[in-house]
Amino acid sequence: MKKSRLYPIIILAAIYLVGIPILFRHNNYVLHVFILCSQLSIVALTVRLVYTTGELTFGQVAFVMFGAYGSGILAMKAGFSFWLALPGAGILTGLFASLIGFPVLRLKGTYFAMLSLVLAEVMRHAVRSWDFVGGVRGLYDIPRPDAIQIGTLALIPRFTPRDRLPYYYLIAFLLVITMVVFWRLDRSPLGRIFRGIRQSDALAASLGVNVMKYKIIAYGIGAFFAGLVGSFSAHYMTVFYPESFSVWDSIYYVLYAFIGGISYLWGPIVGCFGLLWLWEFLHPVAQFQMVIFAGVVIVVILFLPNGALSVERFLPSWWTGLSRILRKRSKKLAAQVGAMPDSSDRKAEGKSDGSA
Amino acid sequence: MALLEVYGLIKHFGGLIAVSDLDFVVEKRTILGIIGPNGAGKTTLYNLITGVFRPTGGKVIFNGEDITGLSTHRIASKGLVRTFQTTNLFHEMTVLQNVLLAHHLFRKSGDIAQFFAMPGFQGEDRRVKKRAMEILDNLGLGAHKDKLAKNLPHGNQKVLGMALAMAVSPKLMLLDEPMTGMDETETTAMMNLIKRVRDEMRMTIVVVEHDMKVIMGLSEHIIVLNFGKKIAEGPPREVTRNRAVIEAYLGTEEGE
Amino acid sequence: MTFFAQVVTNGLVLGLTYTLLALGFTLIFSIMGVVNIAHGDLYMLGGFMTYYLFGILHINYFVVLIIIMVVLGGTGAGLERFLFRRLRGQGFAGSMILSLGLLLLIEGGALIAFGEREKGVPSPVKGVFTMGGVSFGAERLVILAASVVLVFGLFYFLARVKSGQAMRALAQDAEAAYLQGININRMSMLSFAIGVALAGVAGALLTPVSFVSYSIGGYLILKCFIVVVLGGLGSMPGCLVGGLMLGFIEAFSLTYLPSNLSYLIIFGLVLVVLLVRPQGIMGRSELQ
Repeated sequence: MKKSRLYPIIILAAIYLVGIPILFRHNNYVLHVFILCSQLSIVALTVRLVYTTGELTFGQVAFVMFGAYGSGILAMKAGFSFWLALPGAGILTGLFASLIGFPVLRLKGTYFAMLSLVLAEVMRHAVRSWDFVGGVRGLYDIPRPDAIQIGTLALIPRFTPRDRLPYYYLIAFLLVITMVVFWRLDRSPLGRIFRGIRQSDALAASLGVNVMKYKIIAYGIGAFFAGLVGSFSAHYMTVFYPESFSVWDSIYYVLYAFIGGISYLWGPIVGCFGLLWLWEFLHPVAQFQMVIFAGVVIVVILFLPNGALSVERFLPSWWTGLSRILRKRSKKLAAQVGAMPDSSDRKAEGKSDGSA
Repeated sequence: MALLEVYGLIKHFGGLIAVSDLDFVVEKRTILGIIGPNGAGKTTLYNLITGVFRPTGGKVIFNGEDITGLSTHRIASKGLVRTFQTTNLFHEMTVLQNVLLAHHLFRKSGDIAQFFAMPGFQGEDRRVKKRAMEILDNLGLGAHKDKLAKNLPHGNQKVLGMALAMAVSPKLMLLDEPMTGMDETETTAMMNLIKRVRDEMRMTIVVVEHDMKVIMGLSEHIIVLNFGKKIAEGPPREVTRNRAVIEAYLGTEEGE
Repeated sequence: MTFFAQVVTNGLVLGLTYTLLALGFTLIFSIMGVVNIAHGDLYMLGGFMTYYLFGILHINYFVVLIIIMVVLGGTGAGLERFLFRRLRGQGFAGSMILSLGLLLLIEGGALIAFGEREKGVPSPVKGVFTMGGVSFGAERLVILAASVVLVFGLFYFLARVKSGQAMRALAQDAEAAYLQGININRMSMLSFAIGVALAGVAGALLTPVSFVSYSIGGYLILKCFIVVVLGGLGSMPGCLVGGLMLGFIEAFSLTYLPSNLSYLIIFGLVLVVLLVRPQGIMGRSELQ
């Protein structure tokens, strides 16, 4: 990774992992919003992952729900520690998605999008009627993550109802892992296969790519991470019921990913953090909250259809323009002061050495 | 044994008969030309052979194996590759990335190895890159390797399409109108390229084209289609003198 | 037996309203390629207008229906002209997000204007009809009649009237339609106008027998999605099939089965249809 790209990331990491916790150590409300932002960012990132193979899924909430229920059941009925239930739920969710991926991914485009949405709604209703998982009432008294101690050294502190900070760090950690994995994926041959499928699945197939298999792989990986979020959510809220997983959440995941910029790795994160905090800031205007929020969404999608981060396409031109102007000005200044013309002036006058 | 054998191929789309009772054979290391007016069923034929459509009836035998109705990627892995008239490339990727992706079947390491860049994979990755560059240089595209495919001039795009097919090291290539939009020089260059590929890479090639001159210049054997049926077959000289063929083309005399 | 007939009527009424809603949605989808999440909220607008014009201002109900059709038709055309047109041809995702923003805008506006509580409206027609020992509320008959007229009117329009045929041509192949001289802009506005008007009328028809609230749009669009996925996305006859199916299943299972089970059945059926025939009952095959 280029050094210039690394610095802003380090600064952001410092702010998020050190600055915010210090500033808001005991402000549970702020911490809660950030926890939500991290959670939603991960799921929005999974939407982006599936999108790299060319499909938009409006049904990720189904996998979040599956992970939540899976983790809750593993913890409560099978006695798993949270630290086992978390990856366990993720794996179960990934496997589940791979299974239903077969019939579901036969569809493409709008048909797939609608199907994924309806499927999520169907699952919610199915769960409502299943008493083993608590039916309409859902699960409650889900244990919080347990502490891990070696001797007297607490590797992982106790998670209590009153302190949000451990949860904050846990989900931030999961977010970082997700970003790193997806970043690697983007740059790997697997990522290239995904993008090839999106750009032309007919061509990819004719070159020997098993399109269905790779779509299912992307779908399954996305579901795994969504399941992780579900598991976290279950042990964070300690109580949930089928209505906690509304199809509207699913639609919002796509909204966040798009408003941030779905073609960028940071897009879903920018979208989530930006829109969630916008919503919170609009609290004071109570009645007008929805309308203003709607206005922002509409304006962004109309004028920046590729998302907020797509402003970067306009930046280079005025940045280079600006720096050129600045350089000319500083040269003029130097000449006026009587400084020696340096080699850069000769370069500006024309490349007489024949270089392109 | 012929490399490709097609027997009694039929395709219905609802009430529309796209291809009916098609029989032909492609011998190894030859170039077969397929011509016919627009809508004669040429691209449908390709789609049927490569598994994009399932035939309503008939058989396709490739290298002695019945491949009728198999999925496209399975057929590709057996050595049968096609190019497309449109969307022949991965437009948002660079030329090099296009060819790297086309090496999908060439790679032996599994997907997990690829993702985690395990040692076995890295060596293979280098070999793939080397081979990709060889193909590009061979076709004169080496200098453009970092250009986005969509930014290539049209003629180069078509050549890149060939490069992708070649990367798979197929035994049989089905080319779908590889000369559209090319001028005289580009067309001649492409014709020479196709002949080179047949000779140097011991490839068997089928070419669908509009342009009579091209088909005449390239093919050892020609099939003429109209309304999904084969109306004539034979070496170029014979076919051009065939009455049915001339009638079929009366309405569309130009060719480009 | 009378009870059974009652349930059938309920199912029919429910089914036809779902059909009306889905038809407007599908018209816009099949012609413009737009998935309009805000469609349910346009129903709500019709409902709120009914509440205000009929419930509060006591304007004649049938006049109100006409007003709603005109106003919402104009709104639909305006939405296409000023909002959705900018995203035309860019794939369905952008316009879906736009319609989501629209949904929030309309719901937010309704919240401000009408508050959180549900609003009801008295029946425009009173009385009961008895036929063969079965009694039907007069208003349900009105809804039934109006729905039938609208549904078949739409089908007739698309099949026989020139603009309707032009719209169908546009749905099948935009480029070919353009080459045939069809004015794409005008047809786009018209399809939006009709689609939105249908939603508004559905709202006007159903509000007297149920209620309207700022959040009903979100609830209804989900039903609409189920109808179109069941019946086949993009298929108009599919709306009829899916709508009636959902209507009857809801009416019957809610009456004869305990609440939990009824929804499970509905959705079990959806699941089965989706797995066996993912493109919907009347849907065109996207598979090969």
